[in-house]
Amino acid sequence: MKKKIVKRLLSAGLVLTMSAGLLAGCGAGGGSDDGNKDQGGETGDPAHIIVTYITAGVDPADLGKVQDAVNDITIPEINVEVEFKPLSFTESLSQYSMWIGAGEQIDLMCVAFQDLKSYIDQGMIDPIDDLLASEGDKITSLAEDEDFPLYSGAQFNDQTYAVSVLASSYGSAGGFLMTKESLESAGLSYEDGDMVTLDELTDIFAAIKEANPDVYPCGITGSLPPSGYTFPSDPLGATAASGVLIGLDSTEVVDYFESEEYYDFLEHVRDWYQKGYIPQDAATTDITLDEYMKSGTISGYFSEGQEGLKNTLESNLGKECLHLMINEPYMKSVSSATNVYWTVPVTAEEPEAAMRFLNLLYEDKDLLNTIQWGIKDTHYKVVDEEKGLIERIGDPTAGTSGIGVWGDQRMVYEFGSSTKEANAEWTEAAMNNQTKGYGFAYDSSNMTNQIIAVQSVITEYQPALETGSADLESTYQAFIDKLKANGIDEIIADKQAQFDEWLAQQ
Amino acid sequence: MSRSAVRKEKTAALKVRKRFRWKKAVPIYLMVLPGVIYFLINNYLPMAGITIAFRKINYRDGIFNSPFCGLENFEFLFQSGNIQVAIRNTLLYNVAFIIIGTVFPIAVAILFNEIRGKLSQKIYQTAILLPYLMSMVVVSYLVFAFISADNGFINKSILEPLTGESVAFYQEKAYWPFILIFVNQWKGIGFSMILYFSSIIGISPDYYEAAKVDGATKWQQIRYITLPMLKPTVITMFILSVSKIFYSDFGLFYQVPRNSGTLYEVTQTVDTFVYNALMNQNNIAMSSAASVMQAIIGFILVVAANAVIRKTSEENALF
Repeated sequence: MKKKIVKRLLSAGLVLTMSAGLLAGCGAGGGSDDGNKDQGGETGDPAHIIVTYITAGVDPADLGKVQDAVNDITIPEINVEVEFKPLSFTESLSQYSMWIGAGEQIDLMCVAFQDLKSYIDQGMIDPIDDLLASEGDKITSLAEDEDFPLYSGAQFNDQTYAVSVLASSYGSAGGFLMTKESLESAGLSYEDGDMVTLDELTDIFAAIKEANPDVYPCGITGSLPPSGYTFPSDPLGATAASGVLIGLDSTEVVDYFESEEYYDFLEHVRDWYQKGYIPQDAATTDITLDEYMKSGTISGYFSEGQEGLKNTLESNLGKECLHLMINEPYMKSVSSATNVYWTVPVTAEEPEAAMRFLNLLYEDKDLLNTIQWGIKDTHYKVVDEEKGLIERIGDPTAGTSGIGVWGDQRMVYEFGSSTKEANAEWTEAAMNNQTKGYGFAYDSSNMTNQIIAVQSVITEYQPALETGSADLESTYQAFIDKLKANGIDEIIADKQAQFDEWLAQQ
Repeated sequence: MSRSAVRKEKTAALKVRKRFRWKKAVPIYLMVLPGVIYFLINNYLPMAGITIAFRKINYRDGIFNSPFCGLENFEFLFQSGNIQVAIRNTLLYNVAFIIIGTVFPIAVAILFNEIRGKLSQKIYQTAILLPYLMSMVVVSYLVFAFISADNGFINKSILEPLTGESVAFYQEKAYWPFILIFVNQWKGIGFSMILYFSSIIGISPDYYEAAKVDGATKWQQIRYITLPMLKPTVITMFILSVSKIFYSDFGLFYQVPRNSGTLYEVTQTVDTFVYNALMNQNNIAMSSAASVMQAIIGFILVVAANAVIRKTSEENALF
């Protein structure tokens, strides 16, 4: 009898401890090893930092090896051990707030093509002035002594919140990137960089469609609305939701979506869509433009126009490509090339180490190229050290995602042909073509709620309108009405007031 | 024997019984324990998050230290005008689902009851149940394969050869109430049919035999025997659906229309609204305000529906 009870007790105890172990397991994942706390020095155990790693959708197979190679550099150099946290670009739009909300450790976070201000307003990232002063000597010297716009659009109330990537070129433009063979098949001859209007594009599309009935000559997808590439506009360091300057001489903040230029573009796109120049599922598809391009479904798409974009596409496709330009390079208040920011979230546990690593990205060529292209002689081999040209070995996506969001992009190797000269020309052309808002950044904190509301209207209508899939007249009117109902005019007035004040000080 | 003595004896007897009960009950409570823990963690613990709806959230201060802002989030929620559409859609679709989801499965269940061949019954049952086992993501691609503008079956093989024109389904609001209700029925009918079918099988054959002897036609048998006998099942199913009237199948309303913006007016429900506000706009305050509202109204509706049922037929009420 007694034995039985003991046995029962034992088994009950076992069950209890096991379930307790299970429950504890749930919580242990987030635990950090406090023994590794960096005391601000560069001695002792290396500080472990977690850095976001933006991919195009697939985590590179060899990322772990690349991470080891990175640590082989960073541990002796700055006593920092890096752990990459890969996520796709589209995930990055929604995932960060989840991570930070859950208190997950992230020491260095890449905010790319998003509204940096909302991260600041919601208290997700910390100011980094002190860190820059103590650990970021290379960054501060580039920004202050050499005048690179590294903090552009990231300074509010005398505080710096982020460092942007040092782009290989500055300035925005708009063009149409397409394969040369599609033009040749239609019997057209254009040179790379030729200027075209939207009407001329209509004729070009018509000719290509006639020669290749199975190909859609104009690639557009709802997730990347292309209107911004068709006329110069400047959202003054925010998004189009809060109004823009249109053209280079304007000082009047207007509703981007109500402008003549925008409507003109929509009319063209609707026409193209109805004539079958645009994939008919464009508004809702989840296929990317590059995938469309690779499968030969489309023969070109709207692009910003830099040489590097053309080279990348050429190397992906193995075909010759060219840009038809719609407008010349110009300089916005905050260049889109710098719209990639490195931030230190409030959940960072090793902010000093994170800043040391960030600083090294602007200094160490080997580190930078390891992150960008992978391990030397495994993932790429150098072809021409002087020009900085490489050739990739095997599957180009095996080692790294190759997305240029890191450090000083001027030190990054290129493949194909060098774009250094073209980029320098581009930047110079853009610098001579500044909008009136150059140097100004709108502080949207008074209008947060309205901007969110307007932004949701834009995401509702923009994909259907800018792919030409929706009936223009009825949908457009509903769009404009809804924007007004959600207070876009109020936001524009607020922006105009701030801008006027800034102009008066100039 | 005095009264007090009787009472004493009685209480003593009660006490004995109570102790006895506890001894028996403990293992049963232990068995319930994992379930209770699950509900505490999964359903009660997150309720603390309701507080988010009343705060101006700031990540630096965290959830419980962010400043309170009263009903500001709710005000903003209604100001922006989208939630009203979402509420309307949720309610109307659910009403449609409840009505259609009662009539059709019962009709099919009655038809099933008339199938005599055991093998064919098994085959039909499997066929009709199969869609219920599919994930909504798979369903959304099936729908896409039918109605896509580029390669969709309906456009390429039916409309274009016949009329020469195609329909951009993902941009046209008019078709979607029908498509969504159709997909919902197609997917769910197998399961609810089985529920009714099992009740029908449970009806004693004596009734039917007696009816036949009295010369009742097939229709009369259905009308006067089957349907009245199904009433309790229908009412239970009705209460269950009413309690969920403020909730929608996220997959159906998000995946199947492929989150197409032009369709929001007829496809957005409270759940997709919350998801979009949270994931696309990073708007924690507004999405939690919408969820809280959803929970409160949903709760009121359950209690109200139950009250109505209790009035009309008390034995069928849930509580």
